[in-house]
Amino acid sequence: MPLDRRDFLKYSALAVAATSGMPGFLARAATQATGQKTLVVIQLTGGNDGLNTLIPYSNGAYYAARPTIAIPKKDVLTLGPDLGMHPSLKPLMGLWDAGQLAWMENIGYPNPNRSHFASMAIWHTADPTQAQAEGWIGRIAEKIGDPFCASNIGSSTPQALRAAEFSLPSIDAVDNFQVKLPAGLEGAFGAMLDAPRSGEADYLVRATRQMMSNTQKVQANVGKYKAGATYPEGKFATQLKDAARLIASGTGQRILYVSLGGFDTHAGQRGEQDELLATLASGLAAFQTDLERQGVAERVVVMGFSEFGRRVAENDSAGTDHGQGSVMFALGKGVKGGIHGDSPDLEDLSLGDIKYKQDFRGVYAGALTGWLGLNARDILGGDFKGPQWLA
Amino acid sequence: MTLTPYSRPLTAEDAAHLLRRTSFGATDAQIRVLVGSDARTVARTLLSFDDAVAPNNPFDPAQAAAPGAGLQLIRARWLFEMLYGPHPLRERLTLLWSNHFVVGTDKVKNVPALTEYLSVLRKHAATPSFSAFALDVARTPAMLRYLDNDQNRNGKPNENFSRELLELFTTGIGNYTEDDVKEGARALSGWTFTGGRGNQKYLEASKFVFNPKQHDNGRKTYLGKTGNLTGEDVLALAAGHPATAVFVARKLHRAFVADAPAEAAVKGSAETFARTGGNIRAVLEELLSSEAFYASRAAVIRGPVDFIAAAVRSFGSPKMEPKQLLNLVQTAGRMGQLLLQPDTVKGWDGGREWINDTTLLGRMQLAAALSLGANAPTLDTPPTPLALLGTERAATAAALNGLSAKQRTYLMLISPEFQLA
Amino acid sequence: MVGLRFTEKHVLGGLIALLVLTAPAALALPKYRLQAITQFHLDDGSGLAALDRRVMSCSYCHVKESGGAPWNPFGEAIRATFKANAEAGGKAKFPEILSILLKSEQDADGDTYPDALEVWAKTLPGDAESKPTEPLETVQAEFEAAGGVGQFGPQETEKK
Repeated sequence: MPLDRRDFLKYSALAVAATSGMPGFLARAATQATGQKTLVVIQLTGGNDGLNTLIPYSNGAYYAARPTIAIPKKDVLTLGPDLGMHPSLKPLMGLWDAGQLAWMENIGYPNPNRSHFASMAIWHTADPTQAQAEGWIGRIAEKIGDPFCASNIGSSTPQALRAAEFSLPSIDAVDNFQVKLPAGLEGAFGAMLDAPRSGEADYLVRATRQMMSNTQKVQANVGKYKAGATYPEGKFATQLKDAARLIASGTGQRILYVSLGGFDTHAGQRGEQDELLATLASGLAAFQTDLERQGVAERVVVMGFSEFGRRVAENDSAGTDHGQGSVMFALGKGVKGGIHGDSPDLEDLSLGDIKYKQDFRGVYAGALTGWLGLNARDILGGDFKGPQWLA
Repeated sequence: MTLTPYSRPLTAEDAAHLLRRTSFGATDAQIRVLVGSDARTVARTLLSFDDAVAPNNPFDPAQAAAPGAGLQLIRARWLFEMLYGPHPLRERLTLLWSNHFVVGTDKVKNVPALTEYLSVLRKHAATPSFSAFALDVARTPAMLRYLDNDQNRNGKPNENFSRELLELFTTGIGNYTEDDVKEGARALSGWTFTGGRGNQKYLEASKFVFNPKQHDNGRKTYLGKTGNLTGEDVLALAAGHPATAVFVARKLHRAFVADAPAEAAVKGSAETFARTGGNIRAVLEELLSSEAFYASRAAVIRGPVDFIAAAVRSFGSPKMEPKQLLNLVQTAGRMGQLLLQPDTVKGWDGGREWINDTTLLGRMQLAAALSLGANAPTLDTPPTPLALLGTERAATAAALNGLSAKQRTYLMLISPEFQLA
Repeated sequence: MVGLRFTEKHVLGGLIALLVLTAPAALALPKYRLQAITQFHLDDGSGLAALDRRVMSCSYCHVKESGGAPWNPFGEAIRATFKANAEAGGKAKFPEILSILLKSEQDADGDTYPDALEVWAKTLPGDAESKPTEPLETVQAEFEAAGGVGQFGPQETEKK
């Protein structure tokens, strides 16, 4: 074998880190000019019920299938003659009115899989045959040749960000990226570093000094960010705020990834989903306001998905079981607002689930070509048509 | 040429060096016991481990409530053995072999399969026969699943295991052709396993089986030998290839001598490997009592698991709560070394790759948690510079004056000297 | 080192983020089980309760050890409580549903010992073969003396 692919990729990743001695995404905080477009991907983990998110409120079959958990017509936020939003999504109405919120209906893929694990892997790898191990965002990073062009915000990196040879970084609180020595040890710590050394010990001292200088630079840079909106409490909103901070500080990621979990509403769905959708909407509304105030709203769009929708008929626990097709959403100034697709056909189901009419890879393709300026075919391994959701 | 033996009786610093490399770390008292001993005798004693395990291990993977819980329990059970077990060298070697014959929990989540894989690594930790070791590990369901040989069928070859066997487990790159990979896959066809497939069956045992119907019986040529070769033949040919001696010797030197080992010394061990028919115990006994070993100080950057085990063992293995141990497993993961889950089949490269800004910060935070934190383990005797730094005249020692015992421990743990073995 | 301000509190604050337990989403532990363990006070704080099926296996509510449909009588009782709550226009979540069910003094498995009593006595409320050895009145009295069903009230869950 002339050149080991593993080595090649690993060294190209290292080259970025080595020049700065630090993870590239933060290294660039000090240097990178702003200007590039960013895609923020929102993952709703657990299988969000699309029917109670974008509600076919004029369809009697919807109310017949869901005697206890349907959203009453009077509570629906009307978007058109057939469809309206869950009342918890009220914070997004302003974006809808401004034409900056897009819904995509009946999204799925061939041979739907109802396993969380398998279906999530399909969305992450953009491969319904489950042959690919690498994520679609990981493949973007390889194509761009920069392992730091995409970051997950959170503690563990999803498969979507897995590349052939590296996992793209997960950023779990930028505030922790600094040295915080216990009181009274500054002098001793300095004296310890100053002692003469050679070999690997000397290397470790240099690495430590470099790290201290880098972290100070990063904190000075991201420290300039002042939130332009009041974010709600909770982890999801805090992660969105970290995303806004990274974008506003010009750390240069093309893709940021944020997850909100708990959508696996097998029982007591109203209590669970109503709250989750409120968390989603209030977080995103604050995020969008913040981006406006930072003057970067033009170059950010948000795209949201879940691994599957849920069964049309409710179960005996006032919940819903795993289904197939569902809705996606997108928001931002670069988005073509409106509903892309038809109200779901509740008379023609597949094993009790909504049949998909639009392939999610077509939605990805829009983001890749229309927003990130990449060749979607290279990333997705085929041509996929989808709704024209970008302005 | 074999390695020149170290002929002087061990000093305290020699003993500290030996135990840093072979036992993760040790207390001052454990180090001083070895002073004046003969290097060869000590190496032989360290290598004569049996299968005794740490008493009262609180982690039982067989009782896992879910697949994810199973993985956490397997990792924690192993870390417990490293911190509290009677044979740290056996565990150090098991860690080394898990980074050689790599499997990953991204694909392998079955509890009995992973447990069996670890027990094969332990059994062969200082094996008298590398060939027997390679054959045993190749037939674990964990390996068959991880490198897809369970999908390798007559007429529908899957070359994944066949390739990595040569590239990463035995000869290394440059010593075989693409044809060898193809022919090896043909010979290995039909090796698969039954049971334990699918997430739901995470507690069901699985078992190696040879399926003759899926085996390619035809003539093959592999590494220069032709015949109706079987999987067993291929393992023996690859493990017995002359290049394997050098490849495996270099791995051992990287773990025990230096991140950048001297090729002359590697050759010495490779000759011993070849002469003894792949006797790892003999290679290690010679290596761990050699001039080259004792001459190479502070030359291996400790990985995250080593860092943790070194700290706890140097403290005298104080009791820690199961929750803290589970946290330590995850912490090692966040510093780049989640047990049984290297980034790729190539394993962790180690050395300077352990070090970047994030992991250095992580080490400082971890050091604080282990020494100054409210839940830091309680120590009867504070660890000495000899135990933590490997020497009593370390560059760091002067900086410690006037500090409290806990502060001294903290500062030593974040020193370059502690991070090296 | 100008600009660096250090306190011990900061160090420990940073540690929480680093030492937090994380599991990949796909391997997340079943959330109803975790909630029930907490609510039934089965977590000894060692960190092991969440991982160990001896503390509570899936067959506490499900028929199969690996979970999913079908459910045993206690699992069915939980499902029925969800449904009744929703039919009455309620939006109760799992912790509240558990509490409502236990307060209702039902005996799902028909072994004469009410569900709440079995939870407290650490026998299985969904399995008639598993019940306290002491007479009902004795266990009932001990249970009431130990605080009764109030101890299984819903607990605050973390904000997402």
